Amino acid sequence: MIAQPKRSHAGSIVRFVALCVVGFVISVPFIWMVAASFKPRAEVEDVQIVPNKPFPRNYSIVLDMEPDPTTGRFLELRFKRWYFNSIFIAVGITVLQVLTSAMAAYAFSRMHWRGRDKVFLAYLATMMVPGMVTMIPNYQIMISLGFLNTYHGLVLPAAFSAFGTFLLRQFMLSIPPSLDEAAKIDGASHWQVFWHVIMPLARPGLIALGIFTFLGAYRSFFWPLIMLHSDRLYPLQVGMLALDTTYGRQTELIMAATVMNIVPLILVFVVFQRFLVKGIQLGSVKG
Amino acid sequence: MRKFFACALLLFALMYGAAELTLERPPADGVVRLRWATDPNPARNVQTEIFGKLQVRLKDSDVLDWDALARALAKPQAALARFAPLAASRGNTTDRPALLRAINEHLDRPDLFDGVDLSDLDLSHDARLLLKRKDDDEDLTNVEVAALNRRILEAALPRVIRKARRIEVTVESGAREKLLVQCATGIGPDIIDVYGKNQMMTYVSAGILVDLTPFAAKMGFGPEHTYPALTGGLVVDGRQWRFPCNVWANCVIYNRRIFDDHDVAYPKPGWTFDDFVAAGKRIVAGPGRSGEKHLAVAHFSPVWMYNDLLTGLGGRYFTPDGLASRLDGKEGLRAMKLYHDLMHVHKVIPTPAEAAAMSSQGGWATGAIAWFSSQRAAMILIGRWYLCQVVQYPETRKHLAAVQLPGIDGRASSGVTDARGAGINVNSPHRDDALKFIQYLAGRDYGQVIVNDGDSLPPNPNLARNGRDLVNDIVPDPNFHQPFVDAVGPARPLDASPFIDGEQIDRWVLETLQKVENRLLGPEDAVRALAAEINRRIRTNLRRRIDLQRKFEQVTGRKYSDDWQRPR
Repeated sequence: MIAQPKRSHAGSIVRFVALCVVGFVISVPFIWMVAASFKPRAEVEDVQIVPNKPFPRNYSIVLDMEPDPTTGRFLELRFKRWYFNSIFIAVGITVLQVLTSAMAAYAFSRMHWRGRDKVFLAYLATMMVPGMVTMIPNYQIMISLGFLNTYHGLVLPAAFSAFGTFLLRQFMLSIPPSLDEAAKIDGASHWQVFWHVIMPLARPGLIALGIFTFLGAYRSFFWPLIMLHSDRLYPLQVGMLALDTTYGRQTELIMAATVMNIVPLILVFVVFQRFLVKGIQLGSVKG
Repeated sequence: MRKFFACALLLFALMYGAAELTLERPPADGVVRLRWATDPNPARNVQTEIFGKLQVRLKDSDVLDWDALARALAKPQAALARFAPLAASRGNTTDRPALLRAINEHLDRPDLFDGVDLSDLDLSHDARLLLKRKDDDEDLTNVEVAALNRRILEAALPRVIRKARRIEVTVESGAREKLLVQCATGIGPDIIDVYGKNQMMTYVSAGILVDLTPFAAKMGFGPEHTYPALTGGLVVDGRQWRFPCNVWANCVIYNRRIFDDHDVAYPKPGWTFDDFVAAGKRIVAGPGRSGEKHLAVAHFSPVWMYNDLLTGLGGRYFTPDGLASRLDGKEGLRAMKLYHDLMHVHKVIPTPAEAAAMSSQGGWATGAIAWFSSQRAAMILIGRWYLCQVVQYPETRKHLAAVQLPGIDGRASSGVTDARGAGINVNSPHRDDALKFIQYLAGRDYGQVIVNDGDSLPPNPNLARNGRDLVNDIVPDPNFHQPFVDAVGPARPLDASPFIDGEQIDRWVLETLQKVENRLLGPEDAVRALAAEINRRIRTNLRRRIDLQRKFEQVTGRKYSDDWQRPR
């Protein structure tokens, strides 16, 4: 029997307190954001975090349900539309990217063909090229395809990912080959092995990639900024620029918009958090 | 698993369908839509609406047959019956401007043709679309109302009224990165905001902007149509590249309540830098009578303050040929010393650490404008455009006053002037219409919007002859506006060199100021290092670029060689 090391009670308390402090420090910006979203304009610059008199109307002002009290004018933002656009674009990119990455990962991990590993390395090498370098060529392609100022111009370029392929390939390599060999003996085609054997077993990896992709796509700013010139197509991240202009920065409204903006991110993270850790751990076992 | 993906794809397809179906698309109706890359704030909507409306107004040249117009108004058809209130001028075409004005006033009425049977009129496609939207109880914009009424008038009098070409301006983000990517790929907006002379020179050297010179004189937007002091900020090598959207020259805006609270006399015209420092020191010396402590100066842009100090001392960035920096001359050194002393000796502007501790905000001009607006600072050195921001602080507006920048070392007050200007994208498919927009910027209609919004000075100086011209609802006191008019006269744009990118210099100046602010370098050492860096870069650029070598030969009249700096 292995003796358990004796843990000091005081040491545990110190660790607990230290972690509490670190946790609090990390959460201060978030707390400040939520608190500022409930402050009237006159209090936004105050150092104290809690508003003297909570002002929840910031939310209805952002949603154009009532006018800004200082100017008497509606903001005329398309906040609800931008919200929908953000979610819809992120869902589209996530579904397509997970699907295409899984198919590519299957080809790179379970199928044997000449030059497979070299092609995979070449594919992987694209991850080394900074996004800014490929920005203008990608943009030129979008112009040629007539995809400027369209939803598909936002969704399609992000539907394929070297990182996603890499992540899922590593995950699929950890699945014992005997399973698909058994399926093949039973007469299953590659397509059937992919859908009925590999994909169900790769679920944690798929979910992990899905979360990464959703978070990345939802927060995406620069590509939508340069692709779109109609504000009806804007996602929230681009649309919110309208609250910070040379005609004034409305911090309390920006914070109210930001709080609403991050709700989907928090929901996705809270619901799928356990898969995220599991997916990354399992994918890292075998290379 | 297949079911999951099928459901997910179905969900995506449904969302896609819903997004496309509910997307409002501008109808393909022959309307020219100009894209303007700017700061997309709500005021732009007002500015562009007026431009759109001007395009559908009836002009003298739009009437093809005045007699026929007179006859039509005298015997109105069904559609024209709504012009009955024009009875007095009906048939009288001798006072054409009055008649046109009267008709145009009618064109603005949303109910002009309500209840009139328009079925026998040959309406254009865009008019039908507008009518349908009106019938569907959609709110039409002012421009759309005027456009619809104009179309109906054209259809009712097809050989009398010329068809108006509709131009709409849509506003989009003028983010630099966006502009660079778009222009590098040969597309981009039609009209581009150009902030300051340095940015203009960068865009000119990148070949992004249209040379406006051939059009400026005949369309009325040459440099002579704006403030004389600004000419150097619009023109490079005798060619004009932009026209101002608004013009700024900094003044000191101060809060009278805070001055009273600390028993400090208000600044008077002709005040000096020493007066400025003395006032600031008294304000930061301790709490006022109210018990509140205040900052002396809300300091929001180190570079602007340094440039105003340098210009106030008569200093320049470059030698006249642009081949060397003059920042290490006595004015440049003195300006940096003054800046250093304001922060570290007199303590009238906060250090970066103090500023960071006080500000909870980021973004445009950090939190300094918000400090001043929330009455925590007594003064701010800023252009009249500050009024756009103070709209959100009605209590502060009551206490505002302004005075020109203090004179330094016995010199009269002067500072930098420049403009947010508009240029035209060299790849714009609507160059002629974009030129009309630039022409509109020089006119009274646009200028009046700038006056009313408080967005600096209007480009048309006839609308800013004195403080009374600039009175608006934000600050109705003409004395507040007068210093801004006075400031633009002696001010001048910063000088620039064709041998180095001006935006690079802006970054270096900021870095240098930050070193001084953080006491990493003394003021003199910092300026000398900056000047040396600029000179090094000019030499490198000349060695590498043949176009600059040609420019060198033009400027100096001698052949370029890599050792051009060695005395001969």
